[in-house]
Amino acid sequence: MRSIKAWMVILINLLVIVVMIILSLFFYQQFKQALDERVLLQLTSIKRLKRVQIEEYIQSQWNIFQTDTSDLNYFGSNGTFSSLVNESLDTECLKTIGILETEGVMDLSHCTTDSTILLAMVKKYNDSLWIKYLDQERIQHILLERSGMGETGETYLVGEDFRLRSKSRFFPDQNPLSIIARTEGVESSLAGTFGSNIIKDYRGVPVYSAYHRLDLTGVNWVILSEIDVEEGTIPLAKMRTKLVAIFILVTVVAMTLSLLLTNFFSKPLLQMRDLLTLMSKGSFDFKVVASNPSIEFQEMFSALDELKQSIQKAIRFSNEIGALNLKTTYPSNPQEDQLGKAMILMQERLNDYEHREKQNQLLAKKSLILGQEKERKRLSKELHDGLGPLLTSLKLNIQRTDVAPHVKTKLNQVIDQTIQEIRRMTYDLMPPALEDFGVGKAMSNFVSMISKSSGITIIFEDDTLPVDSKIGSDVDICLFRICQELINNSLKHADCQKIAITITEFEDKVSLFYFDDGKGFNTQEVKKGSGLRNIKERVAVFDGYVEVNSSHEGTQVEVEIPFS
Amino acid sequence: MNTIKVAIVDDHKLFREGLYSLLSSNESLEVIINVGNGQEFVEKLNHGIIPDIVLLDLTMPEMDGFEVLKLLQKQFPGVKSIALSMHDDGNYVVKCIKSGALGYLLKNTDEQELFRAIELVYQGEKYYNQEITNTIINTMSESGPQTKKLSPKEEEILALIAEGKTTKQIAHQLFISTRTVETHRVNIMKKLNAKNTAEMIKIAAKLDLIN
Repeated sequence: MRSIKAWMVILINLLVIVVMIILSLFFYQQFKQALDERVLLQLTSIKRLKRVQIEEYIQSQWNIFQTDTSDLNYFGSNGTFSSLVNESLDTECLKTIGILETEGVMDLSHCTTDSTILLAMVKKYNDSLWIKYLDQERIQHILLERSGMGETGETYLVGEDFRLRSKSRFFPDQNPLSIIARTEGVESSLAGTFGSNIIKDYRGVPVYSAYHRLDLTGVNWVILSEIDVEEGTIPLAKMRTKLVAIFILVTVVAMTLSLLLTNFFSKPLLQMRDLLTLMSKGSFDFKVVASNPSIEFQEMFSALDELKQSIQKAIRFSNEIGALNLKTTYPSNPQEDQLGKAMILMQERLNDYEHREKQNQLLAKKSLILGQEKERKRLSKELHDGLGPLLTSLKLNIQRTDVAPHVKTKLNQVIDQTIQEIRRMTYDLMPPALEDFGVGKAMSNFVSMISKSSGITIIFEDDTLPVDSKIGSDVDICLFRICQELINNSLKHADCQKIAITITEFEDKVSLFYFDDGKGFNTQEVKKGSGLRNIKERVAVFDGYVEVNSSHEGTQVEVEIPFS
Repeated sequence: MNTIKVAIVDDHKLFREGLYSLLSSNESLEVIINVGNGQEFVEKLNHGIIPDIVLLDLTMPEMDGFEVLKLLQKQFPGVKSIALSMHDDGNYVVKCIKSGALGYLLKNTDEQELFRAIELVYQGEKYYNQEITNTIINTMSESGPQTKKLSPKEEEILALIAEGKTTKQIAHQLFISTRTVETHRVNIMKKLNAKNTAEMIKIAAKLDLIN
């Protein structure tokens, strides 16, 4: 497992290096081939030039020798050597090479006693043998002309016996005859084939060589122009150095570029990896910034950003749901969003649950309130219908007893007070008129009672239907209790002069409007368990609407209860 | 002087007995019926036992006081009734009067008041307990069935709308909430079959509901 960076660097550099090696090798080969051809061509032309010069020189000397007799050396006649122009010549040797039988140019080097190279022209004239030595220095001079031959270039002659016939450049002090050059060039030239090639020379050193047989009658010599491969390939070596330099340079550049490129491409990938790691750990508190200008990366990052945002939305939504804010809407199209679908399903379930819970609470509250009212009604009835008649019976009976009139009066007073007290208790528990006449009539009576006892003006407007009223007895009780509570509050706390109450029955609902001109209260600060809370609960039981406004100019309360 | 024939209809036996002995002590009174509910009373009447005055309890099982009053009005208009009740609520008085009772007494009434009431009613006058009567006045003013298409409140609001008053002004003036004013307005529009306020005013003017 390597990082993407390493992979990219390795692959890019591998590619560059392979291409570079192939190219270099190819160019090197091409160059080497061209260079070889070039060197050999040059050597061939030098060789040809020198060959022609030598041949021309010898030919011209021959021609002169044929016609001119002035400068001849007499050599002898009829098989005898009259004199030897050159004392170092071995006459016996000369005989074996057939000097007496032939005319022409002859190589006499074998027959010198001091082993010098000697080339002589021989002719028969007037039965005499004439001889003239060719100027060896002249030939040597031609051979030594070294223009275009560099440091190691040389042109030399080799005889039939594979011994050098000219001075070696490398062994100037050695006798050429003692140097044996049995080389490929010499051999093929003697066999009649000229040409050029890379071969080993007499030193055993690889050289470029151009070789040819000299076209001379009587002399079977080979001329060779050679230059060391080492020198000839100096440009090649230079080029190799350059190639290596270029190779290194390119490799370095490729390395640098690949690193840059790798960074360029891997940075967003690594960034993406880091962001995804963060996300997988559950952290979404980051900002997605595309670090690469290319379209694909931009798209990738914007996709990531969208992913992040949708997850964040889901998180926010979950938080809201968790905080039981069930009215929150999921801010995306959940068509393809599985998460969103699940979330919304969860929300719906929770909503259902909450709704049921609310229904249950409402039901519980309702049954509590209704139970309470039922109990009050029962108590009220029992007091009124049970105790009341007993007391009135007692009163009637007292009137028929034989007690002193003042005692009778006293007793009657006590009984009347008791009955009055029972009436008050009955009324407080549940005014009988509420059930018998509805909230409108019951309130009229209640209001006139309160108004009388408190001295405060209470205007009550009963706008309920006198016949066929749709207000049920539960709603009657509810509205009556609310009015009771509100009037109670106004009398106790509001310090008011006037109270106005209107109960209006509509087709589909009943509305209560309450107003006092008191000093008001802060609706936010009223204590829990206060009347206001009871009112709200009572209204909630009937799914009604309640609004309380209070200021220093007075308090307004409006209640609406729909008919179910 | 003829004795006044009295009927006692009350479900409470002790009270009934007390009342019976009290009335019996008065020589000008003769208790001819003494029953525990309306049903029994009606049976007596149907048997031809007709009292001058009936002292009628309102709350009874088997035909309560109000039902008896209605039946008397229809079938025995000659029988004068006095309601005897524990209720000191004016509404009961009003209902009794509407049902044809000529008197209304609280059960813990004094013997003097009781005799006076019987006497007055017998003479064709009416007697209602003084305390309660004072509280009736408010309640009385509310009566009378609504025969018009629009309720009085609606007519009032319609007039105010026609005057160009705003919902808030109307609400303030009539001690009702703006919400209620709006509801009234919608109801008026519904009743007049108007689509908007302007049309409502137009139709109302045509029907002489406003001037």
